[in-house]
Order: sequence, then structure tokens, then C-alpha cells
Amino acid sequence: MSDLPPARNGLASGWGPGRIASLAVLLAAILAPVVLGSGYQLDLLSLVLINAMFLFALDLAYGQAGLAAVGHGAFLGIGTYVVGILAVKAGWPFWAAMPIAILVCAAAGLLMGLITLRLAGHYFVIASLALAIAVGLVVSAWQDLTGGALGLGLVPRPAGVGPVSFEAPSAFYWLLLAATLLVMLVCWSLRRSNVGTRLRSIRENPRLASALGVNIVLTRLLVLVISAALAGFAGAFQSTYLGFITPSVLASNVGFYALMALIIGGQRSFVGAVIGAAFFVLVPVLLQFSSALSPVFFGLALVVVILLAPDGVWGRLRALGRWVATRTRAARGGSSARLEPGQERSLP
Amino acid sequence: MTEALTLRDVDRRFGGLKAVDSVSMTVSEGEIFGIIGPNGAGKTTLFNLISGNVSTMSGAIELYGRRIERMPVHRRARLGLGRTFQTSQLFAGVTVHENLEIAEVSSRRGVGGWLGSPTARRTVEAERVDLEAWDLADKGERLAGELTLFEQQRLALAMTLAAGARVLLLDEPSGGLVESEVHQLMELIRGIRDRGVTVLVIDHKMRLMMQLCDRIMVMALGAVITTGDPTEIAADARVRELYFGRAPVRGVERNERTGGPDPADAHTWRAGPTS
Amino acid sequence: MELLAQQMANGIVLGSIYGLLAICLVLIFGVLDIPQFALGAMAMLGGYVVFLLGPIVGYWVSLLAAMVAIGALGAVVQRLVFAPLRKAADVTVFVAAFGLVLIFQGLALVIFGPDPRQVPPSISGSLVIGGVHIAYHRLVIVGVVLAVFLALQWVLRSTRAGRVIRAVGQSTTGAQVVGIPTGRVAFAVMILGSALAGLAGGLLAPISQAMPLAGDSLTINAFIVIILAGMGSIGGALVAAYIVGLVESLGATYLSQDFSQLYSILLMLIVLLVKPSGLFGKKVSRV
Repeated sequence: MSDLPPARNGLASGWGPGRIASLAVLLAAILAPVVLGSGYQLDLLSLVLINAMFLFALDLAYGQAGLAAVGHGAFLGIGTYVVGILAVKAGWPFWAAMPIAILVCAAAGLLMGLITLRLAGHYFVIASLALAIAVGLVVSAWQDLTGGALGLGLVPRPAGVGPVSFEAPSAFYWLLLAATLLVMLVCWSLRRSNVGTRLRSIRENPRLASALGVNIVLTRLLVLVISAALAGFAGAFQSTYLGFITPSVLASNVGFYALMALIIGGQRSFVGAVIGAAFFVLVPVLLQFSSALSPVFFGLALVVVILLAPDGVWGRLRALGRWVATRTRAARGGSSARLEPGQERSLP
Repeated sequence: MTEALTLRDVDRRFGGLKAVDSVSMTVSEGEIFGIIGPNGAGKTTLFNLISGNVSTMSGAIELYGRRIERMPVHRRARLGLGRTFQTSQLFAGVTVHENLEIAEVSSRRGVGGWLGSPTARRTVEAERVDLEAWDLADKGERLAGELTLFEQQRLALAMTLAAGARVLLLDEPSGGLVESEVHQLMELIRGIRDRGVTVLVIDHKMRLMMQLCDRIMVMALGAVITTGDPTEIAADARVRELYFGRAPVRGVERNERTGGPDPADAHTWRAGPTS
Repeated sequence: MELLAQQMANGIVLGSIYGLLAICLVLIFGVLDIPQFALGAMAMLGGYVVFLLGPIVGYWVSLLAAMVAIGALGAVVQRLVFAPLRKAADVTVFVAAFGLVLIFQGLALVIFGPDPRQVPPSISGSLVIGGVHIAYHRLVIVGVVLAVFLALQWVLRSTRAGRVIRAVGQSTTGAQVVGIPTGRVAFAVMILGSALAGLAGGLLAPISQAMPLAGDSLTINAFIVIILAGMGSIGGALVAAYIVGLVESLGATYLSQDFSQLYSILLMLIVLLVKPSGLFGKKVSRV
């Protein structure tokens, strides 16, 4: 063996299906306003971006750190309300309120982690859910500050930077796209860092990881705080996107739906998270004729994916791509086709 | 000589069972220290107490003079305590290369140790030297779970050292290995000791223990029977009784499954250690 | 004073319902290690069974029908979803259970619509003691739950089936070693737990009416109860359930109606901080 390839965490190396799909998605995303104009469809795409940001953040906690953060929707909601309250009640501009939202969410993540991370498996899930419910109740009941069930508005769009204004739907969309890429970059760097390596060791074999010196609780706490902060960042954009905020952004099922979207799309992958976000936004739109049917559809899709494709839609697509690639290579180069390590042998 | 690891009156009960009963011992730096005894003697529990996987009920454990018995597993590991497990434990789903990378990263400290890159300090060259030293040079990109048992055992040893172990606990390292591999393993463990690492080893293969260890501690029912160099242990009447009962050495039928020495090792006992 | 007594009585009734569901959870969670998050939704469906059949066959027969129907649903769910996920990660099982919640709730919404449906009680009228009104049906709830608890306690303690169930709860591998068909035991426990959830839903329906979202707070409170109690005994779960019921009822009366759910959550957080293993639990394994 002449040289060792670099570690394969993070984005797929080389021109695998992951890289090609990512670039195609990115190109389509940049050109979307040109193609779609600035109507309802662009509005939906903007919502997809906000959800994608949140799913990237959630994937750090769920996919990377293995935390069943069903209460993670609380951080998105807290970020949304912090920017909403600061903008509406105190007249703060978005760019000043957004960092506060990040800080508040990081602090909330730290608090949640300190309370829940000592607990094993299922207990963490319940405690995280209960905390999220508690946040929702407080926000609904604290009417002076949050407007209670009546809601809070109007949150203005972010002020322009220099000559660039974000009032136009397409400009706001591009701002969201830039923010999404920024979140992606943070997540990607974290996965490539020593923290990412530690997380991998915890996922693979926690007993061995701690025997080698990995502090499992501290590693998870750090990731939970970063993930909460990023969720707050996404929440800030959700605030200005919605304009008018109601306690429904803090409903306890937000976190559940997000987790479902992530699992359906495919965890530990940016493309999977985007697929999940799109699924989450578009299914209710497609099933408009009956609002009751969309949860049934979500539930069925989730159970089917969990049973048949534990690595999500994107995981299956990737396996299909690899399978096709091996087949073509085998056809071209005879028996020299060799499976890369970690590659699946065949499609089930 | 520096004391690498010291235990004083360490106790552990499980319900009514005294798994480890007031054990005291001292292991010097650079020593290969063996622990033998029938099944249920408390050997693995003793390792678990030292590594922190099981907590002590009373008594003190010192690593290079530092009290560690209240520390969590990962802190003891960071202070230089490494261990392997009876069923060889690896990150089976990732490659050999990544296993070593994880082991090396896990001991890094400070902001860079968290947010820096795993490849920042680990050069391709160092990696190759490392793999060659453990005879895993062409296995770097194989999944750890696909390796043979002996290869897995070697990788596990390499990982403990990459994680910075100064005192190493080896639990049944020869388990499942064939005779020629046991011999190579012995050489590897000696090599580790020659790097200045202190080694504690539990193994059922009596011949291996007699040839490898500088000193041997004998345990039964959680308590220490005696400690001494292999010649003394082989000659000790209590130990012979423990292993062979009152019957003379002839007619030994117990094997490692039932707790006695492998019958194939019986000649070692008669002849005494060869080293 | 009358208000206090009235609210205590309400709290005990509420606690009985939570307790029944928590007992189901202790069985399913404790023995099978499945966090059956959909139990509340299944109880909700049990309420609809009583709503549909009650006027035709009478309350008690419809209650029995609810147990049979929801027990059968539990069997289907175990066979189709949880058994195939035996080796999956904890999180996956939990999320799958949430998928079931969505399916059950959505179906109830599609079939019955969002409006609550009135369900007549087993016995109408109420008992009046010193100014405190307690509907007879509420007394029935408390009595039935106590009877179920005592029966279960007897089964688990004194019968062969109970010993088998406890053995599986202790260690699946150990039970397999001694020749217990763990798959069949799991199946039976899931059916039993689900049937009891159906019972809880049927009992609750006359007080709270049948509606699609009825199960949500039930599930959350039942989980809060078992965290409070700590896994281990169904007796501990019942006591903790009474505590949660009382806290919720008294808090809603004397503090604020808006926060009724918050009190039990706060109680749970305090217990988690002080004693992570729960009030009656043995030491919980830490991460």
C-alpha cells in the first residue's frame, strides 16, 4: 500500500454519488429563484432551507452523538421567540437579536444537557421531551412577554447589508441559502475534528471509547450545546420568515416531526437532511385535501423506513449508486472490481 | 524502583458474594505481573476495579502515587491506564487505520484536542511505521471486525499504546489463539514492557504465564493466596493444592474450562518454569 | 376545606388512570425494554371502542370489547413493528413508537373527526359525602385500577407465568438459557399491556370524552410517573401515579390552571436531579 487515503468522515471523498448529488442540489438551490420566480413555490423552498438548517443541527445531536433529542424542537422555538420578542417588544434589529438567540439556546442546551445527560437511554428521551413541553407551557402562559396564544408580531425582515436588501423574496431566499451553507460548514468541520472522531468512537463502542480515555458525557454535552446554538440560529431565521409567531412553533411534536424527517431522509448526511426537510415541508402541501391524512402518511412512511431502510431514503439511494458503480466496474474491468471497505456487499 | 500501581485493601462484594476480598498488591514500573487463579477467583473483577468499570467498596488504588479509585473510567485512561477486554473489543465497524486514529485522538487535550483535526499530528509516515510494528501493514483499510482473532488482539494492543497507556491490563490475551500465535504474543508483550510499559496480565495458559511474568499473584475466592516469582509459585504447596486438589499431579483431568491448568501444561508444573 | 377534599378526590381518580397506564409501561418497558410511546394513543382508541359499542351492548361489555380490541392491536403492532426491531437501537424503537402515535391519532381524526364524543358512564349519579361530590363512575375507576393492580401483583408474585415474566425482565439472555421462549413471553406481555391500555381508555372516556388527542397527556404523564417511580415495581408506579394526579389536580386549583402539566414535569425534574434512579427505583445504569 503506497499511501493511505484520508479519513472518510465528512463528505464523501472523490466523485462519489454523494459529491455529485450535493453539487447538483447546490446548483439547483442557487438558481431556484430565477426559475421559480418569487411566488408560493419559492416560499416553500425558503421553508425547506430553514428546516434543513434545523435538521443539520439535529443531526449533530441525533446522528452524530446518538442522543434521541425528541425535545430538540424547543431550541428552534426558543430561537424563534427570542428574536421575535427582541424585535417586537424592544425594537432590536435582526442582526443584533440573532446572536442573542444563539447564546440563549446554547445556554438552554447546556442546562438541558446537565440535567439529562447523566441519564441512560430512554430516560434521556423522556426528560428531553418533558423539558420541551415545559418550555412550550411557559411561553404560552407568559402572555405579557410572548403574547400567549394570540401570538407575537410583526417581526421584520433582516435589515439590508450595504447596498443589498433582503426585502425581496428572492434576496431573502439567497440569505437563507447562505445561512444554510454556513450551518453546513460548521457541522462539517465539527465532524472532521477530533470531536467527530470521539463521537464515532462512542457510537461504535462506548465501553472501549471510555477505556481509551474518551469522556462520553462531556463530548455529548459539547455537541448538544453546539447543536442547540445552531438550532437557535435556524430559529432566528424562522422568526423573520414567519413574521408572526404563535406558540405552535414550540409544540412538543415539532421535535418529533423533525426527528422523523431526519430518519426518513437519512441521518449523518447533509443530502439526507435536505431530503428530510423537503419531505417535511412538501408532504402536507401535497396532501392538502385532507389535513388529517398527513400525520398518518408521516407515521406510515416512518415505520416503513425504519423497518426497511434504517439508513433512510438517501442511504438506500447511495447503496443503489454504489451497487450500480460496482456492477459497471465489474463489467468493464472483469474480476478486478474490489469493494471498498465499509461498502455494502449487495442490496438487500 | 517506582511503584506503578498499588492496591490497598480493595474490597468488592456482589450481593453476598465477596468477589474481591481485601486485596493489596504493588506492581513496579516495567514489570510483567501475572494474576492466576481458578474461575471465579475474582481476577477479572480486580481488573474492572482497577480500570473503573466496577466501583470499589473500600480500599485505595494508586496509579503512580495518585489515588484513582473514585475516578471515572476515562480519567483513569487519560492518566495512562490501558486495558484490553476478554472478548477483544474494537471499533468493529470502522477500519484498522481509523481504530488507531480514534485511540490516538482520545488522549489529546486542550482546545486543539477537541476542535483540531485528527490527522493534524498523525502523519502518513508515522501511521505506516505503527502498522508495520504490529504486523498490520497491509491491513490499514480493512474493517477491524474482519480481522483474524490474533490480528484483532494485536490491534487492541496497538490502540492502548496509541492512547498513551503506561500501565496495561491484559485480560486473557491468549484466548482463542493457536500455539504459534501464543508464542508471538509473548514476544509482543515483552516488547511492550521494553518500551517502559508496566503490564498486568490474566491468562489461563499456565505455560505462557510461567514464561512471561516476572511475578505472579495467585487468587482464589476473591482473596490473594500468595505472590512470588514463577519458580516460587510453581513450588508453593497451597497453589498446587488449589489447582490439583489433594490428588498428585498424575491423573490431572481438569482443563482451563473447569479452572485448572491445561493438561498440556502439566509438565511445566512438574518441571518448573523454563525461563 | 371542601374544595381541598374535592380536588384530592379528583387527583386520586386522575392518578388511577395514569397509574394504570404506567403499570402497562412498566410491564412493556420493564420486561421487553420497549418504550411503548403509543400506549396513550391506544388507550384513546379504547375510548372510541366504548363510544361505539357502549350504546349497543352496554358499558361493561363494551369495556371488555375495548380490552380485546386493543390487546389484538398490540399483538399486530408487536408482530409487525417491535419484533422486527428487536436488535435496533433504543432511539429507533422510540421513534417507531411515535410513528404509531401519528398513525393512530390520524386515523381517529379521519374516522371520527376532531370533535369530542360523549360517552355515558358505567353508573350515573354521584356520591355526596360532606359536600364533596364524587361521581360513581370515578369510584369505579379507582376500584377497577386497584383490582387490576392487586391481580397483577398476585400473578407476578405467585404464579409460574409471573415468575417467567419476571425472569425475562431480569435478563432476556438468562431466560433464554434456562429455556424460556422469550419471544412468546414478549408477545403475551405486549398483548396484556395493550389490553390494559384499552381498559384505561375505556374507563377514562366517560369523564374526558373520546377524542383523537386524548392520549397525548396520558402518555407523557405515564412516562413521568415511571421516571418518578423508577423502573422496577408496579406498586411504586401506582404510588407515583397518585402523587402526579394529586400534584396536577391541586396545582391546577390552587396555583394556576394554565400550568397544570408543568407541575408534574417540575416534580420529575427535581426528582431526577436529586435521585436519578427515581423515588422507589434501584440504581439506574448511567451512561
